[in-house]
Amino acid sequence: MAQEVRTVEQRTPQTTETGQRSAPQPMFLPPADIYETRDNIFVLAEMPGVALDGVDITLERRVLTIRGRSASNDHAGYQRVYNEYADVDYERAFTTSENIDWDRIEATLKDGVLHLVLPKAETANARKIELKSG
Amino acid sequence: MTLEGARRPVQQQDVNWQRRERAYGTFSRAVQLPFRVDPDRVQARFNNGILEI
Repeated sequence: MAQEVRTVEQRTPQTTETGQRSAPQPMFLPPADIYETRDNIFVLAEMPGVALDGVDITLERRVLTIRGRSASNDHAGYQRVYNEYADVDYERAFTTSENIDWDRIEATLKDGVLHLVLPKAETANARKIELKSG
Repeated sequence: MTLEGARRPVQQQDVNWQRRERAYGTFSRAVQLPFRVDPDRVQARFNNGILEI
């Protein structure tokens, strides 16, 4: 698990099919912790500013991609005094070496940290092939 | 105004770490405000990991 798929540090986000992006936001690689137990692989990714509806998790073959989009943080009527924080998009992709039971993946978002639990698939799925006589 | 907090690591027994990039521990930051503040009317929210005061 946890072979990183190289992604560009910063790029112009593309428009997704779910909605249009009003303005491109900087793209960040969210820092991640990944650890495994006997049965599960855990992924914790920091995506502060991202709300539930801003998270997108996709699995394609063995590539797990997580994306997050910070909720807009406009403060109408206020004048900016100081600024370090910015709304950003997050994206990161990993390949998984273990077989993952995709149907039982759990994802939660708490205090800006995305938690993923990836259950390892049972390896006892070996199938016996019946041999037919020709 | 001083902010202090702590990030506690996940307590997990018998785990095999693959990647450890997140930072843990205590933190503190002091900000000098450019005006006087009424301390009784300060409001704070913590949403999605962002503290707003």
